[in-house]
Amino acid sequence: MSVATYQDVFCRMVASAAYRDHVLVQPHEALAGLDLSDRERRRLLAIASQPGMRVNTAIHRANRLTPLDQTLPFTCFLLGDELGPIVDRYWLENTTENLQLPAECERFGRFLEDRLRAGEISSPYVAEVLAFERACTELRFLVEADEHRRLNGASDRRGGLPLRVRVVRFRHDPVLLLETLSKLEPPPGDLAEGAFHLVIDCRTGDPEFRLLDADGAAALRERGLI
Amino acid sequence: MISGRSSRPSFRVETSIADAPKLGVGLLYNPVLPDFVLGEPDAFDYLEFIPDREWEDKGVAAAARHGMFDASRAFFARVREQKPLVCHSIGLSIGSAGIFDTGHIAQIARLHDEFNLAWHSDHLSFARVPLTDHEMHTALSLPVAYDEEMLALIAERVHHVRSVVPRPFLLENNVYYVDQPEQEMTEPEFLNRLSRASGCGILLDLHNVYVNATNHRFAPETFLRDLDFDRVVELHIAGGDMLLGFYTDAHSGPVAQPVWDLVEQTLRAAPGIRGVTFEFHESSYPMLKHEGIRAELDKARRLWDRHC
Repeated sequence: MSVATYQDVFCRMVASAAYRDHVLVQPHEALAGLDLSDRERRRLLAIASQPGMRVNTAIHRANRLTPLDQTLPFTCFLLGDELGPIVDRYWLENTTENLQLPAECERFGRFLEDRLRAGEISSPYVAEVLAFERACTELRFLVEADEHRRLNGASDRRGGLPLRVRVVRFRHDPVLLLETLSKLEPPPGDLAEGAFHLVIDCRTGDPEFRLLDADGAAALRERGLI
Repeated sequence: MISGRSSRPSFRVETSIADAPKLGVGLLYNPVLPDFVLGEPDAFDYLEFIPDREWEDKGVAAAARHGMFDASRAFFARVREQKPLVCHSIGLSIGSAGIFDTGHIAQIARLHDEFNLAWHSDHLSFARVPLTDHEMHTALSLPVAYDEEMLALIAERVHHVRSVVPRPFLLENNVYYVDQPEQEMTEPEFLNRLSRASGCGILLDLHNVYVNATNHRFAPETFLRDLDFDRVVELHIAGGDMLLGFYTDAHSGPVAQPVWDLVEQTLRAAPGIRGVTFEFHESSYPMLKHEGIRAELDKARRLWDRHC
């Protein structure tokens, strides 16, 4: 059905200004071999030339950014000027399958972990803040029935922590760090390093946060829970 | 490509738009609204929500594909005790020639079983296209071409939706920022014919009409003049803002003033409409706050009371 091909090209032109320009400048090459009627070819060329396509692309990008900003706002803030090139690469390598907040948070989180491992992110706080925001998102969008199914499997790595509780390890004081970020201010570059464990507890609904003391952390570590 | 799994029987009697109850003034739910919804229930008659934002979708190939978030289930169950619920989906992509997601429709049916929806709706558009091993989502609703081929394709799909979900099904007129030349029908003609042929109702988004009229330089009244108001079940009202020289359907802040004029004209001409829904994006809450939301709903109610 050629209308499916037509829609495919339309979508690609929305997602990529470079592809759109290619269609506009070299239509025979860009559309060669595609199952399109003459009318669909004329339509695609007309669409590619309209200024409204810039609006479509801008909205496409904004709507792809929204789930990242809504689930990982502090991480995005910490990335600063690096965020633009990072999301460009992320979007190039990952076409969007759906825009659900937890799914996009997880996918972008894994992508950032790769960037961290490759030493491509300069902020020393991104790793721990990313882990914190991923844990918060996981709890916010919990589906308990699914979680029970998952935990009945062999891959239960949380091993005994309550379903609605997460512990996130920080290398810097999380109270200072998160309070600063909540004011959308850059954290000082010289926050003291150490081993901190922040508990996120959603058992009563809204999240409650508390720091584990050394004894509490040791007890959890002994039980293999952190 | 037909994707998804549906184990539901398909022998249910299709519900017509005449079965849609008259509800009044509604509010489209977003994440900043829980306090308002629970604290000011007299401000609105029904709550509309976007189901795709309230469930996890593990993808069309997953066996247990959908799971509603626990917090969402608890919240909407609580609201349902006081108010009718309507759902307005963004995920079906009914105009995608290469994808028909029957699993999505089955999930809407399950949602209806749980929350007894007054009606449900989606967009007359496409946003998903199949790739070799997965899908691409455009992150915005693109307009279908108003041709006979597309009309036949979507009408058949609407029949499927209506056979699976026993509630009136509406499709919303779309926003478009580019023109697709050589279309065989105008937008109102396509909507009228689709609605008659398939039995779906029309969700008339008056802000979308205003956006298109502004960007493509036509009078919104001509669109309304050509639309079959007997098929319109619900109105959407919203505001927008400018981007790159275009007026966009950003749902930013209060309803655009010219849209109020269109509401008045439409309700006067079509008193059988079942509901008027105010929608805004959560990012504009700091501008609106509770008072601003209340003011828009009160304004809609005054028009509703005057004409309906």
